[in-house]
Amino acid sequence: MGMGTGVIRGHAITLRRFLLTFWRDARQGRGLKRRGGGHGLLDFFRKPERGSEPTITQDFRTDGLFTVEYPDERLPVYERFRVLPVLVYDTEDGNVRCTSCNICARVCPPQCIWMTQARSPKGTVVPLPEDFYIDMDVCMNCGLCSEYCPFDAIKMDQNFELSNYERHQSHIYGLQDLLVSSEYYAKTHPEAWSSSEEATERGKVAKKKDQRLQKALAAGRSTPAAKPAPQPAKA
Amino acid sequence: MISMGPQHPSTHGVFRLNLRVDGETIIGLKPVMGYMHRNHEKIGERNTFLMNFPFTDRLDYLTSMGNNFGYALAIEQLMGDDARPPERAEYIRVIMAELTRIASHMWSIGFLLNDLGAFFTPALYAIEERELILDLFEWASGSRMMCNYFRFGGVAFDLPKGWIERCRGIVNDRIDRKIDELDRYLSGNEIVLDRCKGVGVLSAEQAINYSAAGPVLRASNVPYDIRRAAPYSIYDRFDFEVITGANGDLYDRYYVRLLEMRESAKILKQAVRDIPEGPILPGKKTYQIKVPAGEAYSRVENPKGELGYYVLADGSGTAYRYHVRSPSFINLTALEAMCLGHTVADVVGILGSIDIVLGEVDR
Repeated sequence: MGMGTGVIRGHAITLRRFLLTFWRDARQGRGLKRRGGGHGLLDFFRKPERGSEPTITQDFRTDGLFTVEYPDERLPVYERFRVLPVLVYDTEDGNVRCTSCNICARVCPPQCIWMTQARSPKGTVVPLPEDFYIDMDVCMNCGLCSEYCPFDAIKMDQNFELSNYERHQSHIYGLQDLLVSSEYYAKTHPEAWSSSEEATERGKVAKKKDQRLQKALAAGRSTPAAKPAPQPAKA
Repeated sequence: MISMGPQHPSTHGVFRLNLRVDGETIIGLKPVMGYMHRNHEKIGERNTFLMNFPFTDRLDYLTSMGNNFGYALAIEQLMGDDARPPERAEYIRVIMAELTRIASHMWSIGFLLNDLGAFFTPALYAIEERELILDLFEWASGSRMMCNYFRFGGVAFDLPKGWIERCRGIVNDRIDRKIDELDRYLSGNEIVLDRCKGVGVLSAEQAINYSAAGPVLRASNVPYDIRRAAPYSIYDRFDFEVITGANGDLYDRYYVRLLEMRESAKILKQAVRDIPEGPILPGKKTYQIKVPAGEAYSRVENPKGELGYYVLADGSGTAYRYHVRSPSFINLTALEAMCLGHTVADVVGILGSIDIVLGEVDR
């Protein structure tokens, strides 16, 4: 068949797209700058400061290159974006929301959650986790645990930069590694946090849990010798 | 004898072909599978019904929404009226499934060209749209590929604010243009025609006998699409054509996919126009799902072909028997018939045109 119009048309499309990539940058006034570079006119080597990288939203108006120069540029993190589970404690009173009811461990598809329930010195059950482990290498990031947690205690974190030099000890997260404050959760999940369902749920759960905790502690007579309120691992 | 794979770049994963060649000509071909066997079906019998959802994502990892869809339909069939999806959920499901189809076909067309030697330029042009679609998935479900978005009787979350507007933008203003561009770029290209026309022919009779499905079957001029042949969900409401090819060769399989994307765009336009407000689940979200004893087989038209789930429930929390009819695996059985008499270089293209995903072949 040899060379014909199809090949030429193909080249024309490639050329058009090549020019479009420059057109978008020129239109946004960044013709000479490296995308994801610093603020100067000819900033080819400097990087934006950590935490202030520009976020690139790609939607139906995007033309030209679909390249995002991570880590100097970032894609938006959507609220529902899920990586690994975390446990939420309430910032105001330091209460861990988890009551160790074991539902998350039961719905977990790869069965990577296990926990032990706290006990008072008398041996009665306290609705708090004594210990809580998640094997992060087994976790399949499905989010079922957070979906079905009746106490809004386990939530999916959005931190995806988790590379590590070691994987035998540090990838099994204990209670201290998992805890985050409700403040942190409110920041990463603003919509869910402010939604009416979660707000009423929070009120209900707080009340119920407080009652149960008081009852359990009263039964054990002494105050939290069994369980000092865990300190946050991440602020 | 040539052993091609399992680490050959053209096999789209870990898949081995034992070729018997006479010079350059193929005189025998035996696919060797199982390098990525993950025990999906047995794990599905250990899992409770709900827990199996994220595992279905990992069958054909390019089309997780479609896999969820099929599995949800199978269990809903058993549960009956307890899990009848509300109207809005049905629309969301169809939108997700059709977006998946476009993403998957874009991928398949791009990488078919990659297999033919057009190294990555068409592939990257094609998967740009996929990028936008995956962004939509991430926004709605929380994950780009392992969506885990469907639940029995509906979907996991409602669409976030602004989602449907962006989806409308992509569907109405963009996808058609991109498909046109691919069409202009590839369909009349002499090199594509040279490499694809008359290569890997599968006659209609052969295709039916191998029980091929999806674009492979339709390219052989068999107008069989489950969305039309046995409409599930609300597909009977949409206006679309079942695309067929005339010759059953490599070019037809490529072109059927291209035209199918247009039909998907057509369905999507109707769906994003008509989507109603309302609930997304019939009842409250619960992890305790009661599935009565019985057996169910449900099938959906996944981008790769007919994806079927056979579930036998005994009234307990887990399936007694769980089987997946995966289109990639069954389409592969027709590979030898397509390849005989062609050269080794053509095998690469033919394998690309079947569009296999090894996660689904080996399960």
